[in-house]
Amino acid sequence: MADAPCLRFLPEDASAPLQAGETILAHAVRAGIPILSPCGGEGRCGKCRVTVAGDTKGGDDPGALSQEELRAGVRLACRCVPVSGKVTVTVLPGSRPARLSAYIEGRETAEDEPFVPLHLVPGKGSPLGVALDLGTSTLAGALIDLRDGTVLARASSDNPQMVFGEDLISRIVFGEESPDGFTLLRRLLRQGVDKVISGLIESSPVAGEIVEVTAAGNTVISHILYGLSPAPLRRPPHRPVLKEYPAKSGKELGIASAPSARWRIFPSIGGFVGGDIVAGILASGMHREEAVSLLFDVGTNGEVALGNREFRIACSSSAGPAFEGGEVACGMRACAGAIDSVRIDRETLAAGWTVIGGGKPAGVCGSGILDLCAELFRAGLVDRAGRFVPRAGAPFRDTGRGKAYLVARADESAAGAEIVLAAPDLKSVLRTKAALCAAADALLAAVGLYRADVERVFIAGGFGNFLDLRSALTLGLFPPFPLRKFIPLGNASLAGAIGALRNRKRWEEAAALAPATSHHDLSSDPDFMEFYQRALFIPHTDEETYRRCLSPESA
Amino acid sequence: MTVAFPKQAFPGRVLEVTLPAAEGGTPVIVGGQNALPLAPEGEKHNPVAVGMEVGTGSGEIPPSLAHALGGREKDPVSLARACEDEWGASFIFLSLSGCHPDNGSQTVAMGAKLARDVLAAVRCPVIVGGCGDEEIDAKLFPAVAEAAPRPVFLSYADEKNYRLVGGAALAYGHGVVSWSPIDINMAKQINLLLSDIGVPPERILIDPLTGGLGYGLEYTYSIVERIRLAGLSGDAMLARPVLCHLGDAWKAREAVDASEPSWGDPDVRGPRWEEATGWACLAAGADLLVCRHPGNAALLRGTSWR
Repeated sequence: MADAPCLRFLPEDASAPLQAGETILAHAVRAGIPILSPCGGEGRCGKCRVTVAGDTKGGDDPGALSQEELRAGVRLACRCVPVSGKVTVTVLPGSRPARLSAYIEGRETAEDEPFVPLHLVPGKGSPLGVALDLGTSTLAGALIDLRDGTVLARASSDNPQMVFGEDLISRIVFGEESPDGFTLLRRLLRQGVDKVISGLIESSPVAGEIVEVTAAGNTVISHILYGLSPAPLRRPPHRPVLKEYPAKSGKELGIASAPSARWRIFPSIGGFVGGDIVAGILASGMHREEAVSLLFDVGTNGEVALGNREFRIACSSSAGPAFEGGEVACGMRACAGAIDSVRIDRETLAAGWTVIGGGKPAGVCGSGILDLCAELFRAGLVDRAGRFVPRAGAPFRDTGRGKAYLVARADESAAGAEIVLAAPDLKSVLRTKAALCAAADALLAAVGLYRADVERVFIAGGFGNFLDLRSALTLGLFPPFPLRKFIPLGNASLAGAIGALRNRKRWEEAAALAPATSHHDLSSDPDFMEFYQRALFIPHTDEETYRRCLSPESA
Repeated sequence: MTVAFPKQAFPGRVLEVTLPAAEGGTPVIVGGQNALPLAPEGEKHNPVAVGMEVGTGSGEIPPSLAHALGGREKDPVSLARACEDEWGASFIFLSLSGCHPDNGSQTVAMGAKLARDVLAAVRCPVIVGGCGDEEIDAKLFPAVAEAAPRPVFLSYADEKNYRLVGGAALAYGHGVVSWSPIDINMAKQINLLLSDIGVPPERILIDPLTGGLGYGLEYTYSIVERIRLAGLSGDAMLARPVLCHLGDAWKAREAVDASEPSWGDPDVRGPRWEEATGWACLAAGADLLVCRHPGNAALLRGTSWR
C-alpha cells in the first residue's frame, strides 16, 4: 500500500496524518507546529504564510498574496486544505512566532523593601520561587531564590494560544464554538508555562525546588489557567466568573513543571482588566502615593489605570495590537530583524532605520511603527486626518491595499520583498492610538479630574521601554503631558509578580488593591465615543495642548 | 432695590468674515460677535445674512416651492436675479446639482459656465456648491475656481477633498465652506486641516450639516450651540461663522406630502417647515442661512435676535 496521506512540516520535519477537510493551520496546531495566526484563522490577517508542494486547494486569496507569491506556491495556512497524498508545507520565516528577550526586563519604583518572602520551606536544595507574567502574546517568567530574593534567571516564550487569535475575543469565540475549545486553550497555556519554567530551571545557577509561584495575567488568561470559562466576559455586563483565585497547587492546576508549588494568581479588577494590571500598579507604587498617577499598559489590548493611595480606577481600551505586530501588514514583534526606529530624510523623503540585532529588516516593531507614523507626519507626508499627502519625490507605491509608503526596498529587506506602510495600516495605528488616549481621558472624566492633576505617567509593557516619547506625543498616543512626567516601567506586571514573591506584604497589598480598584466599562460610557473621535486626529483635535508639551521649555 | 443682571463675558470672539460682492453690490459681513444669540449682553454688530439657493439640476422640486418661484427654477440666471432683486436675498448659494449624473449630467464646462453667468447676472456675494459626486466635484471645483470672475466661496471641503477644494480656493483667491457631519470634533478637524494647507481663517465658513425639522434638527441645534460656545471660549478653530443650509427641510414628508389633507395646505406647510428650521438655527447661533422659499428670505432676514 502506498504511504498514507500525510502532511510534512518543514523546517521542523514533523509529519501529521491528513484529516480530510481540515486546513493546514488545524493540522499544524495538532502537530504542535507554531504558525502565526493573529486573526485566529479567520483569513483576515494574511500572516500564516506557508509554501506548499502537493495536492491542495484554497488559501490563494489574491487580496492577501501577490501574483508572484501565488506562483511560488505561497498559501494562507488557515484557508488552504490539503486534498490527498503527501503534502509538504514550509512555514515561511515571517510566519513563525519570534522569540523575544526585550519583554522580560521590568522595573519597580520601590525596590528598597525589606526581604520578607511568602514562606520558606526547609528541605532539599534551595527553595525557589517563580514569578510569571502571562500576557496575551508573550509569557515571561523570573526565577527567584527565596532565601535572599535574588533573581536567578529570566525566560520568555510566546503564548501558544496565539494560533487561535491574537486578541482575546477571537480566543473566547474559538473556545465557545469548537468542542473542547477551552480545554485545548488551557492545554496550550500549560505547555507555554511549562516551557518558560523549564527554561528558567535550565538556566538557573542554583538547583532547588520551586515552592512558590506568583502569576499575573489578564482576566481571560487567569480564568483559563484556573480552569474557568471566560465566556461571560465577552457579553455585557462583562463580569468575570471569579475575581479572586484562591491559591492552588501546581498539580491541581495541571502544571507538570512545578507540581508541588503553591500557585498564587493575581486577583482581577473586573472585565478584561486583570491581575497583570494589579501587578503593574503594585510595581509602579501608585497605590502608596498621594500624587495621582496614570498607568498605561501598552500591550495587545491596552489597559489604563488612574489613581493614588485613596482611589483607583482602571479600564481596558480595546486598543488593538497595532504596536505588537498585529493589524499592520509590515508589523512584527520586537525581536531580531525588526526595525525599531525610523527617521525620514527631509530632502529625499526616504526612510532611514535601525534594526534590532543589525542585519536586514524583516518588518517593523511597535516603536518603529510609532516612529514611522510620527516621522511621516513631521515630514508632511501624512496629514492630521491620517491620510497620505502626495509630494513630489516621496517613495509612494500603489499596492493592492491602496497607497503605501516604501520603508525598505526589496533588495534591502530580509524577505526580498518591499516593506511598506499602506493606508489601512496607518488608519489602524490611528485607531489604536485614539483608543488608548481616549481611555485615559474617559477615566479622568469619570472621576472628575483634569490632565493637570496627574503628576506621573507610567508606561508599562515591553514597548514602553523603547518608544520615543516625542514620537508618541507627536502622534498623540497618550494625552498631552510634559515629557518629564513619563516614567517607563518595562514589563511592570512581571516586576509586580517578583515583588510579591520577595515580600509577603506586597502580596497582601495586591490582594487588597484589586477589590479597591474600580473597573470602568468603556463600552457603556456614553462619553467615550466623543473622546475617541477627538483623539482620531494627529496629534489630537485639542492640538494646542500637545504643542505646549513638545515645546523645549516643558521637556 | 435693583438687582443687576449677571452678564456673561466670553474671552473669545467669532471671527468676522466678508463675502465679497461685485462692484455696486453689498458684501455680506458676518461674525464678529462675542456673545450668544438671544442674550442681552455682548457686541453683535453684524446681522444674520439670509441667502437663497439657486439649483441647476433637472430634478423635480416640491410643487409648493415651484409655485412660489413662478417657473423661474428652470433658468438659474433669471432665478438668481429674482432672488437678489425681488426677494431680497443677501447672497446666492448656487448649487451646481445639474452636474450630478442623476440630476441632468451637465458637463463640468457647462457647470463652470453657469457659475460664470450667474456671477455676471448678480452683484451680491455667491457661494458655489458642488454636485455631491466625489469624482465630478474633483474636476468641478477647480473649473469653477478658475472660471469665476470674482471671489466666491466654494462649498464644500470635507476631510477627503479639502486639499483639492482648499487648493483651488487658494490659487484663485476664493473662500471655502468647511463641512462636517454634525460633529463638533470633525468640524474642528476639517478647519485644522484647511489651516494646515494655508487657507486664511477669514476665508472659512463652517457648515455643520443641517437636518430639517423632525429629521435631525435637534442634533444640528446642539452642535451649532457647542461650536459657538467653544469658539467664544477661545477655540480659534471654531470661532468662525456658521452657515446653515435649510434645504433639508424640504425633504420632510410633512413639508411636502399633499396626500394628507388633515395636515393643511402644502403651499403653507412647506415654507413654514423651512421657516421653523431656520428660526431654530438662528437661536442656536447660526450666522448665515440658505433658504429655498422666497417668502422666507424676507421673514428670516434682519432678525432682531442678534
